[in-house]
Order: sequence, then C-alpha cells, then structure tokens
Amino acid sequence: MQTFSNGIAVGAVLFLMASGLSLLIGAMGVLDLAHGAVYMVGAYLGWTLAIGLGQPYPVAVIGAGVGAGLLGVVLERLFRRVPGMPDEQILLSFGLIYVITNVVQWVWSPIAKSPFDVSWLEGSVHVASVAIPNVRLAIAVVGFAVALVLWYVQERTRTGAIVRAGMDDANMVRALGIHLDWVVVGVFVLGSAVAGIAGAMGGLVLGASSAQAIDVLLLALVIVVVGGVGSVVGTFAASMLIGVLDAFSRSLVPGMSSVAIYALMALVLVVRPTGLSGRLAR
Amino acid sequence: MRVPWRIRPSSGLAVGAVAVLFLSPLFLSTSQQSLVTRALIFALMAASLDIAYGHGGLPSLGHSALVGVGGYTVGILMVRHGVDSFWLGALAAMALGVVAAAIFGLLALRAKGIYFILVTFTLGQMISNLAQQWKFLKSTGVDAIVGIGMPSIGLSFEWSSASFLRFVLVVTVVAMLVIMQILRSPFGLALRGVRDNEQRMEALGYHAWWYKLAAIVVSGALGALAGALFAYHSGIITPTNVGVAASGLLVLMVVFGGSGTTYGPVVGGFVITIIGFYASELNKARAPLIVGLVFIATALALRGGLAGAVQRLVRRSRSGSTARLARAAATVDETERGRP
Repeated sequence: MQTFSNGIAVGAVLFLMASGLSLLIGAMGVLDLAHGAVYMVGAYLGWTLAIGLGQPYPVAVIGAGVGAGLLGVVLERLFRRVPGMPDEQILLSFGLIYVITNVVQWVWSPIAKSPFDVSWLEGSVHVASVAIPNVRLAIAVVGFAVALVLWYVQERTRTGAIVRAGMDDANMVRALGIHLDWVVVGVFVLGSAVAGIAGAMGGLVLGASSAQAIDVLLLALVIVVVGGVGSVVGTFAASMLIGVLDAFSRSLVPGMSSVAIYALMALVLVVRPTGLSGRLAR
Repeated sequence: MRVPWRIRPSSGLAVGAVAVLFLSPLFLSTSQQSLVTRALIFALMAASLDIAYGHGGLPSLGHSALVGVGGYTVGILMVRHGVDSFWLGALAAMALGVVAAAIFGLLALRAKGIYFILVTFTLGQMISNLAQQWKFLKSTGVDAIVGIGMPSIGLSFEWSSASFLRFVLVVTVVAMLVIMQILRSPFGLALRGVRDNEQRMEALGYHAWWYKLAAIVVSGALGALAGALFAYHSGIITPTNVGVAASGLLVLMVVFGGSGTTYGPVVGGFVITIIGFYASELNKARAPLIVGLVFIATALALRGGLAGAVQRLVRRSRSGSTARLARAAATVDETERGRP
C-alpha cells in the first residue's frame, strides 16, 4: 500500500510531464525532445524559489510554471522554423538539450539538488493502517487537479475540439478559417508550463539534477507510447500504470527496476501498437 | 573527344580524402592520430545508421545500443575468453549485431512515423539499462568492461597509433564500399522506394516490412562492427557509450552531414567528432554548450545538412550566373525536399 501510494505520486509527476509531450507530438506533430529539459528547468526554478529564496511552496510551483512557460515561447519560436521536418526537429531538440542542460549546470552547479525540504509538507496522513506522506499526497492532488482541467479543456471546450480536430486533419481545420498557429503556440506554452510545474512538484521527491533532461523525458516517452498520443485519459492511465509499476519493481527487484517498464512498453507495442487510447500519431 | 569513363567529382574527392587520411600519421601528433581514428570509427557508425535512417526512412534513436552489442561482444571475448583475433571478434560482433538488430526491428517496426522514433529511443535506453544493471556486462568493481587490448590481425607486428589509424581506415573504407554497393543494388533501390511510397511498392509486389527489417539488420551488423573498432580503440566500453545520448549524437552526425546521401553521414560523423574534441579542449565545462549551439544553428540554417548545402551550391553554380536561375534552382531543391 505504501509502495502503491509512492507509485501514484510518481505517476502524477509523470502525467504532468507526459500530457504536454503527448499533445505536442500528437496534436502538433512536433518532436519536442527538449520537453525533459523544460521539466529540469522547472525543478531548478522551484528549488531556487522555495529553498534558495525561502518562498512559500505554492509560489515556487507557480514561478516554475511561469518560467517554463516563457521557455516554451522560445521553443515555439525555434520549432516553428522547422515544421514537418523530423530530422531538423531532432537536431534542434538535441541542440536545445545540450544548451539548456549546460546552462543549468552553469547557473546551479553540476551537483544535483536533493529532494526539497518543505517544512509544512512534513508528516503524513494515516489512512487505515497506512501512512501516506503529505508530500506525496500534495503531488497527487496537484497532478489529479491538472489532469481534470486538461481533460475538461480538451474534451469539453471549443479550444479542445480545435486541438483534437487539428490532430486528425490539420488542413481541414485551417480551411475552416481557424488560426491553428495560435493553437500551436498555446499548446507549446501550456505544455511547457505544466512541465515546469511537474519539475517543481517532482522536486519534492526526486530533487533536481541535470540528468533529468533525458531520464524524465524517457519515462514520458514510454508513457506516450503506452498511452497513445493526444488523449488525456490514455496518458493518465499510462502514467499511473508506469508510476505504480516502477515503484513496485523498485521494491521487489531493485537491480532490474527499469526493465519492467520497458517490458510493459514492448508488450503494449506487440498487442496494441497505437497505445491504450488507440489514436494514431501523425 | 569521347571520354570512355568519367570519375565523378565526389568520388574523386573521396579517394583524395582517403589518401590524405592514410598519409596523415606523417604530419599528425600521436594524440591527433588517435582523434582521427576515433573520428573514422564514428563516421562508420553514422554511415551504418544512415542505411536505416536516411535510405530506409526509419529514424532510429537507439542505434548506439546495436553499436554497443559489437563493443561488448569483442570486449567480453577478449577480457574473459582471451580471444584477441580481430577476425573472430568482428565476426562474432556482427553476428550478435544481426540478432540484436532483428529483435530491435521486430519490436520497433510495430510503430510508424514519429512513434517509431519514440520506440527506438526507449528500446535503446532499455539496452543501456541492461548494460548498467546486468553483472555479466561488467568487469569486477566497475560499471563497464575494461582492459580491452589491441586485436591481432594475423600478422606479427606491434600496433602503433599510426598503424591502427590505417587499419581502421581500411576497415572503414571496405565497409563503406559494401554499404555503397548495397544501396546501389536492387535491394537499395527497393528500400528507397519503400521509404518514398510504401503503398506503391506494396502494390508492385514488394513486401515493404521485409525491406525495412533488412535495412535495420544490415545497419545493426555494420554498427556492431564499428562498435568493435570503438572498443579496441578505447580499451573500455561503458553503458554511456550505448545510451540514448550516444544514439542522439549519431543521429546528429547523420543529419548534420545530410541523411540519405552517400557521403553526408561519414563527413558528419568525422567532423562532429573533431568539433566535439576541440570544443572540450577549448573549455571542458562549456563544451556541450558550444556543440549544442552548432546543432541548433545547423537545424535552423542548413536544411538537409552539409550535403544539402553543397547540393544547393553546386546547382547554383551550374545553373548559370543569373540570379534568377539560381533562385529557381534553390526553390526546386526546397520543393524536392518538402515532405508530406
């Protein structure tokens, strides 16, 4: 049960990270592999605001979100120049990963930050005989709240309908007189902001390190593959599955923990190549 | 006067480059020779990746894992079993490379398009994790296979940095000739056909899936050969060598040089290795920043990599001196490159 709650918390962080990536890849056809670097920047911004400057934690989370959103604007300006060119997008992504990671190491030193200590989140809630640390509870609450908002926006609003329509037939959406470009900007900024929030929230349990640019990206990619692109529900289900599976395999077979996740991905690929949600990537 | 045969300028340049590299130990220091050797090995890795990436239209972000299979194979054979024959080692490396690439391809080919990239990326990471966590792939006390010596090639002489450079050069050139022959063969033509229009090739009776799998397998076999050379040259092979960052670097080399071209990936691999080395000479801590900026600039300014830039230059000069024609040539080039 303890392990399960850990898994849910990690799953919530991964969901925040993967939801943006899934939209960028699924809806926009943009291979933004620098999304993990945005997460990392969020984690470090959260550290500076909460630990370095001693701000209350919600302020740090919002600050990290805003900072990452601004970074998203920059990324959108760059990716806009290589539309529909996977080669150049990969090159650009890796260039950005190198640059952002190195700048982060420059600013915050290459030494990793340990999980953030936030005094009012210490202690734990007792449900039946299980103690669930407040930190993990907070992460799960934020993750679930964002998931709910994203689901509502994507499935129940006009904007969401445009995004979904853009996934299926971008040209038709443009022909209807809708400025899909602005939707792309929106998804980039929102997706990056959410990744930044994920970084700040994840920092409570994972700390901040420059290796996260790749590590977190990889887990998010597995989720996108398992959950299918562009579906909030599929992404959410996959995030929880991966989070819980990761937590259990870590406690049961410590030596081979990450292999379980990739084995699950391989299984999903064989059985259902389009992922749980079944929507095809562009 | 009729010319019986004509050497293409690019082939002439390639022969010239090989000659210069063969003579390079005469004017390079030992450490520079080692750098050139490394650059040649990475050039071969990039060229092997491009069989699948550029010619097969299968953008793999996990190629280093297959390269690593070769490196780990010769490493374990030499360190644990005392097999120091290059021929045996390379054969075993390529055989296991074929097996690994076939498994890799079977899984990855379940996905298409951008999905394929994601799946290869994560499969590559899985293999690198295996290298990190599986005791069999470690020397005692370290997360790597260490103490890989120089191979014997059946002739009795002592290796020097110069002779190893020349040996690697010969292997690379032979492998390149094989690659070029494969890509020129009916198989290569069909592969590019599958890349450009899968439905049409299926309609013509080609089984596209087999061509894609074969491309990945050939790419993996030659990648494993490059990995074997890498292990001999470095004396060590680590999980980092086979990880996704390494795979990403290989993709950068291919794209930087120009994917799907004959010489682009080789030049890309060679040049990026050298740039990386001198960037870290310049400022070790800030080297990734420099390299990253080079990549960003390449992605934004140099569509189609170095090869694309050269092609545009050549067409511009051929299409006469009028600016109008030059512009027309450039537009044609852009439209030809435009993908759906």
